[in-house]
Amino acid sequence: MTSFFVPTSLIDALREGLAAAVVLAGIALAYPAKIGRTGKHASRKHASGKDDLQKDDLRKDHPCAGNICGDNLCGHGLRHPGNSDGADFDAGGEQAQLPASQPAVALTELEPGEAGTIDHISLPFLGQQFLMRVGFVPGVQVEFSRRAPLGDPSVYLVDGTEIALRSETAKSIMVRRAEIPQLGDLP
Amino acid sequence: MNCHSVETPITALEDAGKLSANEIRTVALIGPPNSGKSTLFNRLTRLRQKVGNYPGVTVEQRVGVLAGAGREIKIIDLPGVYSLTPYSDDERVAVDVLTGKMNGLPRPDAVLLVLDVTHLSRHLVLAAPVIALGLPTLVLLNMADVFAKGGGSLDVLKLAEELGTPVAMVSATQETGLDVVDRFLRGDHDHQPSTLLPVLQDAPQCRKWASQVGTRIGYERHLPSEWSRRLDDVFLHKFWGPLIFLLVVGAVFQTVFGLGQPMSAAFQDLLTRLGQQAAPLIPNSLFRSLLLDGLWKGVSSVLVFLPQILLLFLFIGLLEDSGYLARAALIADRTMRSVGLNGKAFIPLLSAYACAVPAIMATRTIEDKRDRIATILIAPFMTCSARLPIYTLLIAAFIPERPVVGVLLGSRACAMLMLYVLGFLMAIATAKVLKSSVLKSDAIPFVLELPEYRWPTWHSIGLRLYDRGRIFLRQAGTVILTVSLLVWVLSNLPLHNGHVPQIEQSVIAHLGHAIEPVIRPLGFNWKIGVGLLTSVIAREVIVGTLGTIYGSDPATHAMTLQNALRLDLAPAGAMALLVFFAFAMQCTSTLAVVRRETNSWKWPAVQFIYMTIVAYASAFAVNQVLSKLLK
Repeated sequence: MTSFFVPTSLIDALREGLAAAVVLAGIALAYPAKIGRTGKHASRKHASGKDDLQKDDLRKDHPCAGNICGDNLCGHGLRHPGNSDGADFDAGGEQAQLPASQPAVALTELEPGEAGTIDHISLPFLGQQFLMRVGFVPGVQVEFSRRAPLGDPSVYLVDGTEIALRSETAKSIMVRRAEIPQLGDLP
Repeated sequence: MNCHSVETPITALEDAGKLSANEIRTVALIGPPNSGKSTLFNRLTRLRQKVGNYPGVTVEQRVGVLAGAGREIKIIDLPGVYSLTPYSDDERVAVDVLTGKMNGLPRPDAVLLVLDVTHLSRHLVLAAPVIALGLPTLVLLNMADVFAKGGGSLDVLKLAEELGTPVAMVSATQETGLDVVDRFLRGDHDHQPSTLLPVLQDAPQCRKWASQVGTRIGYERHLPSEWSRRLDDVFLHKFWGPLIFLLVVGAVFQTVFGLGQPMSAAFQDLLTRLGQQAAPLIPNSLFRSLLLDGLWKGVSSVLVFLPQILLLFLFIGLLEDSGYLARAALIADRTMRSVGLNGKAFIPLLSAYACAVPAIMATRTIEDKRDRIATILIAPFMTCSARLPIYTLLIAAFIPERPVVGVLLGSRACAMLMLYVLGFLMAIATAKVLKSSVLKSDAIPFVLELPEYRWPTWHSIGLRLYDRGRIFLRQAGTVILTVSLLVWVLSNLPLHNGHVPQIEQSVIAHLGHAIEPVIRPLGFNWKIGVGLLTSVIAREVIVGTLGTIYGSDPATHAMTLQNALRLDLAPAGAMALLVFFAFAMQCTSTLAVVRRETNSWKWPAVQFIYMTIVAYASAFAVNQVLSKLLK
């Protein structure tokens, strides 16, 4: 029934059309990446400039200023040098290692490879709870692993698990940059 | 209680509050997402399980029977959750089942808590609220093999002491240590939650407690293999990443479309031939027609989806189990976000170009319920292969072959391509509307866990294929079969002297005449109307129906279907018919699968009405405009 009206050339043409569509989709995928990348750099510069202005305000106003939240929990698991008993969670014995001048910055401000300790999450209650359940708990160390090929989302290493967040989410997670690079933490 | 094995120390808790082993009839299996809970469930039940849905929510309910227990012990597989704070449907279901508030399920007598030992610091957070429920609990530390290989270690006895529950190291994939479950269920249990559990069970409190426990039990994290990072350096590379992504999705598409399609066609041929072989064995009667044209055709139209479903799930299984699916979602997310969906919708939508049925089943990988429903709703707009027969028929009949872009693109291929684009654009537009209104995501951010790369196992992929195939046949199959039988009845009644009527005298032809006034403005006559009615089984059925009608019409019976259509249908009406098929939901199988996946008739009804309205309005516009222009 079906054989007499289907010109096979039509199907072939269709195949070619589809192949072309896949290639086009590829270009479309790659193109916003470039725009996104350059845009990102510009905004990063802008934002860091702003940071300098805000540093003092942050130091004064932030509840954690002068009493840095501890980083007893780190991305490599539960052992942490200088935290052998694990009993203290808030403002532990590590306070001295983190100078009070470290302002809380958005997670998106970190460079790939850089690590920080989560300070707080500026999201409504539900969003906060959700991120905490996934592992983004204040006091935990988080490392910025890499950006997705198209610039966003970004992958973060928290509690030994790699989790991707869109920048719209990551910008609400405030962290304090780790003084020591994360690899140095490994015994 | 037997506990000689070093791997499965069970704390000595033999006094007060004993629950006799014989009282354990129902066990709940709970664990965070990606803890290997499903694999464990399959191992424990040996596939003796029932799949359903919890009432009112899009959460799948799996209940199985524990294999080799010697008596009937029911296992309820709860959805993967990070906590028991009821913020999501999954968590609400878990809490309701554990507290015995879920209709139709008894309160579990014991709990199996599955935690991934390689991510114990994160997963231990769930242990506090679960153990605090006070049910006898066995903590299974899964992925023990990976953990040990990576040099991880912990004091299991100490952990059991900390939690006040027995703890065992197991590996669901290697099937080691699982005998402990049986021993646990046989044994007597004291259920006395540890007093060391955190009182306030908010996330930071639980996390703090987990970290302290981790320190006290001497938890040494295993070193994750360098492989994952190195592979990601390639798969998530700025240049190679998207290129590999395109190759992979191209391969998926090519396989489902290029291989699945001919496989389905061959399978269909085989089934039809089988039917024809059987025909002489049955006396020529209405009964034979019912058996062959009604029942057997219905069964074949269900079975014919199987090759494509299995192929797609073979790929999805390989991608998901290896860990690449999460990377693909990461790459696609940026593009998918522009229409309000997330990266996980990419593979299902792509496979909808082959067939919406497996694509809708594949949306299971999207955790966000609203994103998942939005993806399900737009998937049938993608040009599936069932549209090709009617597309090719009408294009060949009404569009003369002329070069459009030199030799590269002819007018016919161009028309076909435009129909693809049309469906795609409507899908995007619908997604945008849905995601900015009824299905707008709430404050819950998009989170994508990137698991370590692993070799997929044939066992797990085989289970998945078996599972998907079975669910499709049982639950979608029945609906498809019913509708096929209904269409058969309508096409074969009323009887003339005990004989089947010509299709023109059947009930369905009367229905075709009845709807003619409605479809006349689209440029369709009653014959097309009958085709539209029969094609609710599947879009390609219209070609067969039109063939039968024009073939039995003395005026056209000597012509090919193309010529008959050219004679009977105005070009504007033909174009309107193409557009109608691009948008209309002429597919019972899709509706049946949507019903099954969303656990209600609401979404398939919404989808059917919406798509029919869109199709009608567009076909109306095309016919009105073109009939003016072409005159």
